[in-house]
Amino acid sequence: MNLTAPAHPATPSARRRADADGMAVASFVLGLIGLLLFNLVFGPCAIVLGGLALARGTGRRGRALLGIGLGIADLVVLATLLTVHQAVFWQFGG
Amino acid sequence: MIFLVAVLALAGILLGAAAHTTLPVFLAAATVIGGWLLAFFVRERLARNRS
Repeated sequence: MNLTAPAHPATPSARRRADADGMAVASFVLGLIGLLLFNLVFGPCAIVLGGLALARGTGRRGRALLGIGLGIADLVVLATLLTVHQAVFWQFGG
Repeated sequence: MIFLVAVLALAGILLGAAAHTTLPVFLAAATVIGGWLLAFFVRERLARNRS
């Protein structure tokens, strides 16, 4: 993701860092959108991407941790809504 | 017929919270999330243009 990673990483380790930074940002974005849409899909994706970013030594640790936290929150929100509503069906307009 | 039931159940789970909240709640949450993302990307662009 060019918007959030250095433009022209020179060394292989810098390229790895750039990739890891991109993963951290992707984890954050997916986690945030997953709060509302596709919880079951974006939640685990955000957690995995955030974990990968941390494992590959991203410079954006806070962003990756936030992505992991949001990913977990996605799943919690989905579980809460399902148990509160006691149904898995669509309710148009509430 | 059972197919329709299965599709609705799957959509209810897959689509996530949006299928289980009322419209005002959904719109409010969408505004907050959209605003957060917008602010994040604007800050990213500013940092990029400076460095």
